[in-house]
Amino acid sequence: MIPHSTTHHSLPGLRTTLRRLAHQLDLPVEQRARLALAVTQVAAEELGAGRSVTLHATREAGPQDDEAVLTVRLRTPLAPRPPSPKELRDLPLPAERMADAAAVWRLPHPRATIPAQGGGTPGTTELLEEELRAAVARADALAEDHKRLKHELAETNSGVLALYVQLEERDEQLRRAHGQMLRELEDALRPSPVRVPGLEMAVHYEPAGTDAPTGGDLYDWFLLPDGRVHITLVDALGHGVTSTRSALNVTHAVRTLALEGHPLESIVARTDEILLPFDRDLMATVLLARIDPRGGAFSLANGSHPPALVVRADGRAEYLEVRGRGIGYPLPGSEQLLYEELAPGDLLVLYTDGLTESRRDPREGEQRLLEAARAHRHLPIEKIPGAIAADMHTVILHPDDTVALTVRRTREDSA
Amino acid sequence: MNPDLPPARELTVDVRTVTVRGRDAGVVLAVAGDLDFDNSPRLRTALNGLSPAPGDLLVMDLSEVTFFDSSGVTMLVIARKVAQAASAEIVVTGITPMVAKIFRITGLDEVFRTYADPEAAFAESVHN
Repeated sequence: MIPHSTTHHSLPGLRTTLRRLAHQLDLPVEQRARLALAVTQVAAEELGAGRSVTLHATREAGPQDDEAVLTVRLRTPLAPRPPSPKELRDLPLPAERMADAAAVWRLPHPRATIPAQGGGTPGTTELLEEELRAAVARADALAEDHKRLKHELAETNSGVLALYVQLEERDEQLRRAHGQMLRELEDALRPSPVRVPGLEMAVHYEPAGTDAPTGGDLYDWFLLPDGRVHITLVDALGHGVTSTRSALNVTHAVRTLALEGHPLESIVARTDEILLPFDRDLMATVLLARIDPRGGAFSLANGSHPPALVVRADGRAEYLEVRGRGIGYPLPGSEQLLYEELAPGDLLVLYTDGLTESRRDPREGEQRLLEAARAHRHLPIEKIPGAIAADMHTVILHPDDTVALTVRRTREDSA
Repeated sequence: MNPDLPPARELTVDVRTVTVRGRDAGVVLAVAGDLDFDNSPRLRTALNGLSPAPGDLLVMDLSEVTFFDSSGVTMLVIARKVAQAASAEIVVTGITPMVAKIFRITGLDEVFRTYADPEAAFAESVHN
């Protein structure tokens, strides 16, 4: 057995010798197969060229028995050149090169004495079949592992996917809650119509976009201590919530001044005086209306805002231009007030310029608004602003807030 | 949606320094095209680039403006702030009927002196 030393002239002889030796030394089957393949690969060229090779095996004991090493050497004394280090590294069982041999395999080999295998030495075919079985078993085990890992990966993937779906659902819930909150906030900003005998009121509000549910357009209406209805309509410069804050400052200041009893003609200028020190960039147009529900008399004060429209019960209509400049404008304030009267069935329309904008000419927008208001003036009051806005919004040039606010004097004056 | 809608026109702002009797007397901003929401940032940029000297005349020439709405009003108010901050004077020239109507509604006709054209504006400012 070992030390072992044989000379070989053919590959089959070398293989058989090596396999039997490995079997006798009780090397693991896979290691035996790899060693046989590796030795064959190094020796093939020499033997094919008709030159002989020698095979040597020795066992070197370490300090501990389990550190003992089996050394297998293949010598090719007649070879023109030794195998390269790369060739040796790439063998089925990597080898080293040493001064005295073409290739050297050093294998851990704890067992000191090799008991003879029962039943004598098996033949080459049995040894090969054993190696093949081991290789097939290994391949099967690897295939099983591969399948298991693929399954685990698929499970992990579907878990991640489920997580994504869950996150998306939560996102959607958040978005909905967010939208709900904004709508509630928006409703809080926009008071419901004043209920007073003699007048009926309605409003249509459309924000510039769903991502900015409130903009710079805002309105306010309330009953004054003297029984008249006060209406404020504001269009503050800018977009989104910042402009809402500006507009809210204006409606708030106007409401306070109106309830304090300031005359209508002073309110725009006074609002500018109050607010501009806090925000030099504030710019807002305002239109103020005061209507007496008992006789229909009303007055308007304007600050750079588009004119109110009045449509009489019989269909005559006119814009009511009132001179004055808005909050943050040069020379802010009302130059004068306009006094008019609503007869039973007459409709007053207040709006912001988002309603009338048109690429052609601002006058074209005013003409269309006049026709829309005239066409819808007999509808139930709560339907009129929406119907007008629907007629007007055939062309959207850029997203802008829109307010359409209507007041009609009821026909039964005593109601 | 509306086939009759004319296409939007580009806005151009031509900035020109005017000298009277060999001296810088002011700047003319000749605005042409649609002065609307989408285009107004271009005018704003031009306004931010101005650095008028005290006593200069800033002329906003609107004779070639094809569309004018509240965005234009805002730009004129900003132009006036720029002029006031530099102790310069601002006037508007070449007002079309469309601009005149907006001026009346917004009350800006009380705020801006207007002239037929920049030459008329400079002629008067030199006499004063």
